[in-house]
Amino acid sequence: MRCSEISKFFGKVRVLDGVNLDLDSGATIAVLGPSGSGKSTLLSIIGLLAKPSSGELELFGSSAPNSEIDRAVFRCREIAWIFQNPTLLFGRTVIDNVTLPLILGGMKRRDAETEASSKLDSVGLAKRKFELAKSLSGGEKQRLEVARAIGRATGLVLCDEPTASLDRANSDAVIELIVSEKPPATSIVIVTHDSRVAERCDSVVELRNGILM
Amino acid sequence: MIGKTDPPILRTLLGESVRNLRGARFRSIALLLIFIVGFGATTLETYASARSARVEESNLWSSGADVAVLSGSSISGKSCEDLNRVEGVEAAGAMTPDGEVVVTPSDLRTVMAYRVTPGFLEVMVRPGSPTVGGVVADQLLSSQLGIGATSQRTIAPVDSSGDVSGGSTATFIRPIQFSDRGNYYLGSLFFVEPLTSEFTECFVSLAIDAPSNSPTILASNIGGSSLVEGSWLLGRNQGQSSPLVQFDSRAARWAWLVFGFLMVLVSSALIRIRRNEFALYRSCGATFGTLIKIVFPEFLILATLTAAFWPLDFASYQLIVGGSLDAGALTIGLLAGTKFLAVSMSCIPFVLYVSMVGSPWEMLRRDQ
Repeated sequence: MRCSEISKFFGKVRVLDGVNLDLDSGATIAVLGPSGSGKSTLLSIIGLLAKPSSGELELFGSSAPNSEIDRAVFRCREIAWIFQNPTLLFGRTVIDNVTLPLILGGMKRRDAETEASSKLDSVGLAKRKFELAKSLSGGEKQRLEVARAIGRATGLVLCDEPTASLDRANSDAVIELIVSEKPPATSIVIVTHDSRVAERCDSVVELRNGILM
Repeated sequence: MIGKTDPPILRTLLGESVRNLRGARFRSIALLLIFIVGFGATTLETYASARSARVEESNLWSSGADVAVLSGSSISGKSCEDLNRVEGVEAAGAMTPDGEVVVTPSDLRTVMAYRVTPGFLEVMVRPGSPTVGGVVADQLLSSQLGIGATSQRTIAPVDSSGDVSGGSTATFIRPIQFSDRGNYYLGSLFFVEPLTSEFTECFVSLAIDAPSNSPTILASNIGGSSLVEGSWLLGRNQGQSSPLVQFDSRAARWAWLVFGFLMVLVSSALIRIRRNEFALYRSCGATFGTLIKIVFPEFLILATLTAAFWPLDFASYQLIVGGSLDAGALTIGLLAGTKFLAVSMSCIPFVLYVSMVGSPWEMLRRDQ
């Protein structure tokens, strides 16, 4: 991923100012910064949810698609998100939540369940895979979200404050899972306030008032 | 590109539908109950109305309810027969008041069918038929009509040339009570129409939806005759619609549309409250087509369960109450129910599409 001179205006307010950011395939980067510094806006642009006012975004070696349809297809196929609060199918089983993106990607359910079981094993939820997602604790739900995101084998995982709602132990566990269990070719961008999370990444950048420090 | 790009497997998506139903048991059961109530009420109303209308219609005919009697000192068989061309008249024919028809060979014409109700014998002339005599009925038909064996007699002999001049006068004794079977029977019974005889009563069978002024018109068509007071055997108002016509025009015939619309609202609400769930699906790679393949079967499975439940319930109801299966009314009812389901299901793609407007990631982030 490469951001070249990315700027973003909301009306007359400049939220991002000439941001340059490179991320190699398989690398992990943390974006630190106080509230209102433009972290989430940058994440939205990288995730193709918003277009920059100026500058260029490259993903996987080519310019980001322009048309909404192409951007939507690209988002679905190549980008996974991990949010602060887990977004799960709470009425479904743990393993169903992990197999979901796999079967939507064309995998047979049996194969998807095999792969999902492996992912659940790596996040420590293998024994609970047939329980409903709503029965999990907060930390477990976030680990499940991680398992689903990294199980998709997308090129890019965007994490928006993934540990903000967790206690220290769960926070450490989740970030460890994100970094250690991701597919080798998957790049990760983590927006966080937590410096301990940043320490686990390959590189760290800081945004202040829309400017990359 | 690293992610998988194969389209999802349909069978797997159907499995996803089933898992969604199982995962939301309360929602599924509630929806199933609503389907059953809506489908059942629609079907049951149509079935009950159709059955009631048919029974009522049958009762009207079996009671001879639409028969009027025009009385006069001397009514010709010809003028009585001419009433067949009056609007609202289904058939007309004359008989003597004492229940006997006396015909001479010169009166004989061939008729092809008849209609009988208690106290009335309708004779229908076959257009262009040669002048021949005939018999009243064979044994089987007599049995079906409920007329006695004594009524079976040859009116006049028929020779090979069709000449009936050698026949003798014959008498048909009107039975006291015809059977219900006789009311609708249109057989090839050969009977005689006394065209030249004079009678004192002309029996007229009116269509149930005949104009209310039909009796007056009928009387004016036969000079010197008048409607015998109280001869309308049915206690209904003249001009009252047939029960079957009333069935077709009843307000409740739109019940399927009303229940269907209610189901549209329920289905829409259930889809709308799942917006975030759909957003999650989309964020995992589901397209609109994929979601349709998941969501539509969810509703279809419940609808199919409903559709499978009701025929069984209907059959048992009919067998218990009626002792037999009424396939015709059941078909009408099921058609109404099916229309209800079609209306309720038709909204799903549209509502789903509307629910998908906007970025799924934005929806998920807003939910944080």
